[in-house]
Amino acid sequence: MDRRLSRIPVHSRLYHPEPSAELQMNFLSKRKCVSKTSEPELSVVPGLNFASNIAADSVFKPANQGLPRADKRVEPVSKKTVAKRPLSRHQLEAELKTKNQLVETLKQQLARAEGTIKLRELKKENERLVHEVEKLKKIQETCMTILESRNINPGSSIEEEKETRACREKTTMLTKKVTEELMLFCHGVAKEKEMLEAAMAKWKSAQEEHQHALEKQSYFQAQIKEWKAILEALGKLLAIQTMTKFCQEQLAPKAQQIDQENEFKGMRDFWKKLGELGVLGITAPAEYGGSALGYLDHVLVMEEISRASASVGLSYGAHSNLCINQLVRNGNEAQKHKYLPKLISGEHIGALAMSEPNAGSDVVSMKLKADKKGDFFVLNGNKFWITNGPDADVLIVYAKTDMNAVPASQGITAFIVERGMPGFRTAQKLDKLGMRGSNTCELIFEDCKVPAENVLGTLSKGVYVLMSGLDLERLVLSGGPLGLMQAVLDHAIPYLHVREAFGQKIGHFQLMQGKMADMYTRLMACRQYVYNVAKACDQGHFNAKDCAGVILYSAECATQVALDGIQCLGGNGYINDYPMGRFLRDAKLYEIGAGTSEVRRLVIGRAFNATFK
Amino acid sequence: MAALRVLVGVKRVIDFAVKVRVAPGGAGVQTQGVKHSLNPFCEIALEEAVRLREAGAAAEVVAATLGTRASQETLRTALAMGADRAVLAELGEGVAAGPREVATALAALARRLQPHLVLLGKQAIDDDCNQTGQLLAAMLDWPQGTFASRVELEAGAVRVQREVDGGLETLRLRLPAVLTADLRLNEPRYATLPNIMKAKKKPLELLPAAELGLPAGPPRLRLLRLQEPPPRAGGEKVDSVESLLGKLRQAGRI
Repeated sequence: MDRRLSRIPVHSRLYHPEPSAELQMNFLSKRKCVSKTSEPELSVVPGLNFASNIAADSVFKPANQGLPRADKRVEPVSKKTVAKRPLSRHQLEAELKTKNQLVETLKQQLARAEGTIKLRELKKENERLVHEVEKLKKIQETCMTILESRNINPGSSIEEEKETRACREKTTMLTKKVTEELMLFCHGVAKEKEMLEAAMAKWKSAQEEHQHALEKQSYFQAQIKEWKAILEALGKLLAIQTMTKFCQEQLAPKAQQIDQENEFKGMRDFWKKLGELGVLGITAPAEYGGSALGYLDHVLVMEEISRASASVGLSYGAHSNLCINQLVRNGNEAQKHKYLPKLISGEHIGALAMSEPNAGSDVVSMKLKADKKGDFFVLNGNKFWITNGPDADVLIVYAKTDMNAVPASQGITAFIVERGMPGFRTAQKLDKLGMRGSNTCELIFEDCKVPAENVLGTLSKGVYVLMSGLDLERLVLSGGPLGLMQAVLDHAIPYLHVREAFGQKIGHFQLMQGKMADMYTRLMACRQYVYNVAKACDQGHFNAKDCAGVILYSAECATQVALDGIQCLGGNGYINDYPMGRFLRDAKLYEIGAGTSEVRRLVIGRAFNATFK
Repeated sequence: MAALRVLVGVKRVIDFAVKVRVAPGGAGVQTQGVKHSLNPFCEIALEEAVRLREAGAAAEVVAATLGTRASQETLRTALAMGADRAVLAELGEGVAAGPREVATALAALARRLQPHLVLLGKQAIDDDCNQTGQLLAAMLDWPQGTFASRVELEAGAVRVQREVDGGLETLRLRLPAVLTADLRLNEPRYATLPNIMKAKKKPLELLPAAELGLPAGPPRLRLLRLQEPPPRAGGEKVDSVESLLGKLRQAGRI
C-alpha cells in the first residue's frame, strides 16, 4: 500500500479503485493488439517507425492535471509496462523483418520459378499489397497527423488509439471521480471546518457559561457568607436571649439575698442548670460535652450572668475560664477525659490558685513548694484569694518545683489538685467588700501528695500556662464590668423617670441627663472594645496588650458608672434596699482581681517598650 | 403512634417587658427598634409538642408562622427549643394579618403537611384576640380543644383537660384536632446553647403567603384609631354609704 494513500481520507479511499490495475489491463490488451498487428504485410512497410518510448506521464497527464503532486492517485506506469511497449515494437519490427525475409525468399522462389503469370500474379499481388501498404501508410500518416495534432502518442494503431481513447475516457472518468472525491473531500473539509467552528463557538459559549457560572458561584458564596454571618449573629442573639431570660428569672431575684448572706445557697443546683444550658464548657470541645463556641460567646454569657449577680458571674468566670479553659488548652487526653465532663456538666466546681498571701502581683515569687518524691509531688505552702476555693472539686494550682531557678519564672509548674487529696484543705472563707456570694478562701497544703500524672503542661514550664491563661482570663472577665454597667443603667434610668423633684421627673434635669449620657457612652465604648477584642481572639489574633487593655478600661469605667448610679439614686442609692451599693462594691473588684490596674498598665507599657528595643 | 406529626403555630410579638407606645400618627403601635420575642402562649404550645415527641407519642414537630422576614428569628428560637423544622409564610411589609388570615394560612399548611395535631397558643399578647385556634378548627372542620391545661395522646384520639369558667372540663377528641394552650399546661424550657447551635442547621422553609390562599384584596378590618388610655385620675374618700350613693348618682353612674 502506497504511503501516500494513507494521507487520503478514508472515505475517498473507499471510493477510489486501484488505478494501476485498470491501466494494466489496458496494457495487457495492448499486448494482444501487438500480436494482432504483427502481420506480415506490415513488415513490408518501410519506415514503420514507432515513436520512441512514450513518457509515462503523457498518458497520465490529463488524469494528473490539476492534482497536487501528493494526490496523484493515478500512478505513472511502472518501468516494466513502459518497457513492454517498445518491446512489442521491436517484436513487431523483428517479426516484420522475418516476414520481409520470408517474402524475399518467396520472391526469389517465384523469380526462380519460371512463370510470368505467377510473376505477374505475384507482381499484381505485390502491387496490390503495395497499394494496400500505401493505403495503410496513408492511413497511418493521416493517423499520425491526427495523432500529432492531438499531441498524442504517434504511431499507435487505431486499436491502440481506441484503447488510448478508452483509456483517456477512463482517465477522465477517473479524474471526474477524483475531482468528485476532491470535492467530497473539500466538502468534508468544509464540513469539518464547520464542525470545528461550531465546536469553537460551543467552546466559547461554554466558556462564557463557565464565566457566568463562576460569577454565580461567587455571588452565591457571598450570599452563603452573608447568611452564615446572619445565622452566627442569630445564634449569639438567641444565646443572649436565653441567658437573659434565665438569669433574670432564676438568678436576679436571689442576688440581694446572696450578697447579704455572703453565700449562694443553691449554688450546686444552679451550676447543674448552667451545665444543662451548655454555658459552663462554652469553649470546650464537643467530645467532652462542651459547646465549642468562641470567646465572644463566653463574654456575652459572662455579661448576662453578671448583670443579674456579679458575684455569681465571677464564680462562673473562674470555673468556666480559669479552670475549664486552662484544662482544655493545656491538659493531656487523660486529664481532659478525667476532669472535663463533670466540670462541664456542673457536677463539679472548678477553681484556679496562683496568688499567695505574699505574692499577688508578684506572682512569680510564689513560695508554694512542690518536691518530687517518686511518683508524687509533695506540695507545701498556702494560696490566698482563691475564688470558688471553698466549693471547688478540681483546682489548678501553680507551685514552684525549682526554687533556685534563674529566672524565677522558670521554676513554676501547674498541677491539678482534687478536693480530698491528703494534705490539702481549705481555710476560712474570706469576708469581702463585694462579690459576696462568690466564695473566696485560703488554701493550705501540708505535705499534700499530688500524683505526677497531674502535672498540667510541662514540668517547670508552668509560667507559660499561667501567662497565656492570664490574657484570656482578662478578656473573658471583662464581661463582668459590662454586665455591671448594664445593671446600673437598668436600675438608674427608670428610677430617674419615676422620682420627682421640683415638680418634674428628675431625669429631665440637665445634670441628670448628663449623667445618663456619661453612663451610657462608657458602657457602649467598653462594649465595643471588649467585643472586638473577643472577636479578634476568635479569629486567632491574640494580643496581650488588648487583653490587658479591655479589662483595664472596662473595670475603671464600671467603677465610675456604679458611682454615678449611686449618685443618680441619691439617698436611695446609699440604702442597701437598692442594689446600687452592691454594684459599686462588686465593680471595684475588677480593678484588682485578674491583675491590678497597675499591673495591666505595666503589661501594656512594656509591650510598647518591647517594640522599640 | 408512628408518624404522628404536630404542627405548632407561633407568633412574633413585642416582648412582654417592653413599654408599648402608640406610633406617631395613631395608626398602630410602635414596632421599630422594639424588642420582639416569641409569644409566651405559643412557647407553651411548642413546649407541649416537643414533650410529646420526646415521650415518643409524636414523630415530628413543625413550627410555622405567618409574618415578615423578621419572623425568622422567632422560628429559629422555636427550632432551638426543639422543633424539627420550620415554615415561614412570608408576608410583605405593612400587610395586615389578623386571626382570619393566620387561620387561612395555617389551614392551607395543614392541608399540605397533613398533621395529626395542631397546637396553638390560646391568644397572642399583642392583640389578645383568642380567635385563631377556633377559626382554624372551623376551616378544617376538625374538633377543637381550647384553653388546654393537660394533653394526653391516645390511639387515634387526644384527651384534653380545659380550663373553663366553671372549672376543669375533660374532652376526648378524635384526631386530627386543633388545641390551644393555656398558661398552666407546662413550663417552657430554656433554649440551651447546644440546641441553639443545632437549630442553625435545621431546615427553615420560606413560602410566599399568596401560595397559601391569602386573599389579595384590602383587609376586612381597618384600624381607625389607637390612643393611650387617659391618665388615672385620683380617687375620693367618702365616710358613709349615703354619700357614696349620692356621689355615684351625681356622676351619672346609677
